[in-house]
Amino acid sequence: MLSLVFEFGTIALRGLAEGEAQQLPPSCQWDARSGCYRAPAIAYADLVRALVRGGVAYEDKARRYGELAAGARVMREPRPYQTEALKAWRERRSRGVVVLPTGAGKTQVAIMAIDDRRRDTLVIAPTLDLVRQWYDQLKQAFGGPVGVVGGGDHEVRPLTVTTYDSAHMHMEHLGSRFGLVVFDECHHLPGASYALAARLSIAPFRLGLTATPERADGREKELEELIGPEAYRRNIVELSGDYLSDYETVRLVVELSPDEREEYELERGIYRGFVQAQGIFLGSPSGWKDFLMRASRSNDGRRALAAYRRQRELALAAPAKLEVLEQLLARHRQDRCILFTQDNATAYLISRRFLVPIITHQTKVRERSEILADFASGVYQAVATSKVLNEGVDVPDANVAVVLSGSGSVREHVQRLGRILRKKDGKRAVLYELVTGGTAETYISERRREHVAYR
Amino acid sequence: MLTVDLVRARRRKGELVLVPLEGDDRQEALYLAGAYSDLARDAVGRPRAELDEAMGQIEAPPHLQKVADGLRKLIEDRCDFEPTLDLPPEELRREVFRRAAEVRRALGPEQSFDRGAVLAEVAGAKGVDPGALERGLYADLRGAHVLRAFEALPPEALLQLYDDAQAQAVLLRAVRVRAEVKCGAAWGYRQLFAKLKFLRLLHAIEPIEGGGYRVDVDGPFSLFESVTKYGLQLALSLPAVQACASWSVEADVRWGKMREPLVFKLAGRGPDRKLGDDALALPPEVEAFRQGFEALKSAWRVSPSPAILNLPSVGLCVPDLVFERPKGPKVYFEVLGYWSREAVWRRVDLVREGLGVPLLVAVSERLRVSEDVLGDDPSGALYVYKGSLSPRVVLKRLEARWGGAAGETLPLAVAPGGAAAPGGGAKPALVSVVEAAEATAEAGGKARRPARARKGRGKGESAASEVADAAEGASAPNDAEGATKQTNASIGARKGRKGAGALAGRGG
Repeated sequence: MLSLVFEFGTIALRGLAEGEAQQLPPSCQWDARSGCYRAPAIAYADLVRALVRGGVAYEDKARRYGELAAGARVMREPRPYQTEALKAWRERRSRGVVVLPTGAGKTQVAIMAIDDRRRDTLVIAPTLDLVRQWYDQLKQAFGGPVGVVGGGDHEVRPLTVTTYDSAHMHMEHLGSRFGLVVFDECHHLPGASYALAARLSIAPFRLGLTATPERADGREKELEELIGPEAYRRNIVELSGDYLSDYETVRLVVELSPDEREEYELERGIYRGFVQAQGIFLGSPSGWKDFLMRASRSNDGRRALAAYRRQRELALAAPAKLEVLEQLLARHRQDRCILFTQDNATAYLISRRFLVPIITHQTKVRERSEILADFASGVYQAVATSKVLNEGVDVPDANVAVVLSGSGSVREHVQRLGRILRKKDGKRAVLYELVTGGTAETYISERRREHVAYR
Repeated sequence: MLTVDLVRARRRKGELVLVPLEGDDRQEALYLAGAYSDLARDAVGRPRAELDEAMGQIEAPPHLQKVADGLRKLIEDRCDFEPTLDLPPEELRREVFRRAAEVRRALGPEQSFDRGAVLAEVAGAKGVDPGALERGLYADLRGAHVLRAFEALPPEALLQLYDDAQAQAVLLRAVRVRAEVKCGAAWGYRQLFAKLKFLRLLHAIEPIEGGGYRVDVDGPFSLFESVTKYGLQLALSLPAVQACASWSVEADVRWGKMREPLVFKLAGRGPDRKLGDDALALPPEVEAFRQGFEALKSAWRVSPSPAILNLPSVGLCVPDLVFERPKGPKVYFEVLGYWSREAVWRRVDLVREGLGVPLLVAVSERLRVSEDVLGDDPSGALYVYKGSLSPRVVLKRLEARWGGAAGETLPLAVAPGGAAAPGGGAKPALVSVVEAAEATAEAGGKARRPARARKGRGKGESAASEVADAAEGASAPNDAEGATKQTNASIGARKGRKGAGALAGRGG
């Protein structure tokens, strides 16, 4: 008898000789390498339908996913548009994209879809922090354990969360184990490598979630093939004023010690001297690249690069900043502070010195999850981090941000401010920015504050 | 292994060409290889971050920075790092940070936070030294992992490794590899195809005029689209290709940011195999058998076999020897020994599913397999031996099964098969072997399927439930589909799948 076998992201049809393919959809092709017909895994549902329609008996060894023992344990009362979205998705054979604006509860739609289909489900999200959030939400909604693949974890369970990167790497093994795949922020999916992950999965049910399916390269059309048609779209005008807390920003200037100042000036002199001697104009768009290139070509250049790094380190991680931080932690010991740094080394330095938990890209999902939960509940009053908490993560209880160092990026700075602005009754947020006086950091600070939020 | 960014290559007329490391540059690279190795040797027992820093202090000439980075990578690959986790770091952190938070919150206006006191308190509660506690706090970070061992290599050998690794790293961006290989004896091919199978790559094999084979290698999904997904596996398969007596490789790569399609070519000879020195390449017990068989002075000639017997839907085998006699069929002989029972069943499948050329498989009695498994199948037989291979017994089998008129019952073995080959009939015998096997696969595939059906896989209730999802998807859901009905359906479907799974298990 004909049998369907999942083989590394494809379905091999064993038991048909070449030319015996009258009943098969066109996605099935003869594979001379292994003497069988073969279809991409994404064609599984089409293939099964064609076989059933044609009355062909077959054995399905491809499908290795089961059904969830129970639905959602806790379900929030859905908003009307969420119910509509689910209905529209179901009407499209449970394959489609739901477009809702940020904050409209896309996760809730996914939980409703999982609850409705009750198939083993894989959720794919763009970043590890979003993976962590999905992990928490699924755990809360469905009660049982939730698997994570990526960020150092590899545990596959009926409900599993992963990143697009990990999905690309592992889908050829995971592709038969889930009947529903949820693509969070699915505008990331089109593109050669991520799209392949969608093609290597047999999941008959697929849900895409995004606020902005449109891509600069126009490849959003591929979503229809990879997930399904746009099933539902809703735009909600957001009144941003109503959603933000009151806040203030405070800039604290610290000074280098005489010894540090001397070393700073010396190193900066070496670096500036090389730049001038080479006639590099750092203000031009290619200036920095130009410097790096020339620095790698001579011993003077390498010395100049080392000098650049040292003077920067002196300014960004000035010992005086740590003393100020000590005072801030004491002053805000009843608050929730996020301590931002430019680099991981400084973040670990702070964690060691002040014995506060830290979240970096090396922190595993479970530990991040636990730290953020304890931070929210008030067990911890501070969390140190470099850049990983910049975006997309909910820390509603945080009301103090301390930027020890950062880039000149306005976007980064606004995002960091945004972490403490989630509205809560009576909350007043404050953002401290620590800047070393008389150093280049002053300019970095000026650049990143070029935003209406700081005026 | 090196990463793609460490490859030194140029584009030249649609081809990707590696930049050779020669002259003064090679001398400089030798110096770097020695210096990095010395540092790694000295760093055993020290944390990774220290080794990283020490290596960073060594200055490479700017134009050789990529070479330096590559050598460092190869040396790091030979380092065995391991965290020291006497105390579980995650747990330590939790306890220390929680206690620190409590202490800080309880501070009065004029009091300052005493870090040492917190560490001492937690250390005391755990009965460990505060210093050990502090060291253990981040022992799981990459930089804190300790170098346990370093597998040193002389600088010249390291540079050789570097050259090979350059080619291998190019294949990380390959979508397909065409290799031409020729092996002195069966083991070279066996090693290659075992490797491809292990890496889950697929291949198409074609004999080359004058000996050897062309093997096109890619992955299952390549049938539908050229993807670099199999790059890592293709790269890992390269050493097995390079072990063949003579080999060349042509890879389609997608290079650079724009993933430009280029061709990458490489050729060479295996390290210690001399072509034509077949006798030496046979395993000792097979060589002893061959000599013993020749001493019998029978009508059969015996020689090392250059053939690959391939039946795409089942697999392939690479015989050790081939027996020939005037006007008779060639009979292939594979010695399986006593390693794997599984391998015996694969040979049995090959014969039953229509390999189409005579194959005699020698199996040690220690595998507890009966010769009756293949019975009097015209194209294959098992020879179960005790102790060592007996030339006399094999000769008897050859005579009984393929001696005399019996040979004529196997036209496929000598005829070029149905497929018309370019160049007409002037092809070497081994070409026809593979063609015959393929022709049989096509013709025999249909005719012989009952053999599989005989295993008796049931249809039944499972078929209906298996389609549940697709069917659900096919029909628009209606609201009449109540919760109760759905639950019943799911239970039925679950049972059905279990049943199917059990059957599949028995069959496979």
